[in-house]
Amino acid sequence: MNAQTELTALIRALAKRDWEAVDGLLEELRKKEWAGATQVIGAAFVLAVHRRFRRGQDLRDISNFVAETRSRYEGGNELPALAMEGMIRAALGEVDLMDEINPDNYLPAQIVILGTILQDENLTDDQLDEFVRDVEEAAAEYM
Amino acid sequence: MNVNEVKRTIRSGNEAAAQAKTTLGQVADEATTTLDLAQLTLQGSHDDDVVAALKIIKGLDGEVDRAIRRAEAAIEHANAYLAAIG
Amino acid sequence: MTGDMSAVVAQLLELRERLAATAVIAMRAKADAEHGHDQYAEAARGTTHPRLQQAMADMRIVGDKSARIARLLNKARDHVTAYLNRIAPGAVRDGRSHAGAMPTGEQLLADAERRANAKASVGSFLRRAVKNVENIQDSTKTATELGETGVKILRSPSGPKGAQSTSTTTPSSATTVSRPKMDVPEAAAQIAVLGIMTAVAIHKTSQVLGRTIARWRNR
Repeated sequence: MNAQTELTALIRALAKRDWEAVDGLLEELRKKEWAGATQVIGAAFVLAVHRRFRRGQDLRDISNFVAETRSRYEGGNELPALAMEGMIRAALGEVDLMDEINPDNYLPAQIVILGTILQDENLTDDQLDEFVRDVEEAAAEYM
Repeated sequence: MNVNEVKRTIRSGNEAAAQAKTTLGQVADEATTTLDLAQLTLQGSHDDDVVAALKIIKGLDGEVDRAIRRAEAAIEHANAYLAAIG
Repeated sequence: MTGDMSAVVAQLLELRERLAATAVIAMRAKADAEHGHDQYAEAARGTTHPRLQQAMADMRIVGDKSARIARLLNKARDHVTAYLNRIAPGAVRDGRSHAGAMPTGEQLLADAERRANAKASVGSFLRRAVKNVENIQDSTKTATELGETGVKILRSPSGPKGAQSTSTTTPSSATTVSRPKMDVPEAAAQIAVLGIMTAVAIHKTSQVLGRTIARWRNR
């Protein structure tokens, strides 16, 4: 049992700020215990980060983004800034940095960052479809 | 990383290098097709832009070839290292 | 336009397409090369063995060459475009002047590069994530809890109301941080409360925040 369908639907709903849909999906996901989240959310996170940043991005740009994001949400300071920066850098190629981050922070940080990036991009439905297809394809090998 | 993980990682690198070779091979094939099309369509033209475009397209084969051989060299070096660490 | 001419134009338009498509493939090769380099680099941690260093250097060169090939293809395409614009003005439709029209060569390239890089990065990222999550010790949090936390945070933007409520709070660990003059005092107070950044970093961030907040207000 995996929750891939619900997870990709959640990503879509978060990107569009469709909170009603999000509520319904959270219920379904609870039943499935978010099975496959590491892979699906992880893949979506990497793809979203690459929309916003490039390989070898100036570290100051990344820490500015993280600071901006953390102050954007009321619960933003629940997530350690260094963890968020490390995850973004890991997605851009410095995979070893993940070993220094508490794995309990992976999912919340990834969701907040990918949600923020996708919302800011204001993707069209077609672009969102393409994004979700890329996520499914990328995550499939690791499920 | 222990030795086995190192070996696995290097093999993974070799796969990526091999993939780069394959992809470059596709570039070479496409470059040939575009050259044929360009020459067919533009033969006889002395227009500056045409001359420039044809020159670039003709030179692509050599560029791709050099890149492919470099990828092969990378794999060779990586394999030599694999042999060295047993 | 004569029959011959329209055939030439059609062929040249197709040539442009092919050149663009080939450039996209070259960028994929670049992404493959970078991925290979990253793998060798990971394996090379803790060793300076010349063979491995050479493998890494080689892959960096493959990446550079692939990017160069993509640029050359794009340049050839530009020359064809220039020629076409001369012999048949209006035959080439540039993405910029028409809504929803074909993207420019540069946009195609940048997009293709980004997607190829992204996909190439997913594998090693996920492998590490899965491994670390599986090896967690002393965690009492379920994926459900963690996921819901993320969504909850995303749902609670700190608008002006949130910022105002923190401006009356005295920063708890602000002793090492001086409050620089800024245009966005509320946001600055929030960051000062976090007590994690130096004055310089706060000033820079406030400039970014000022722009961000201005953007939000103008929505």
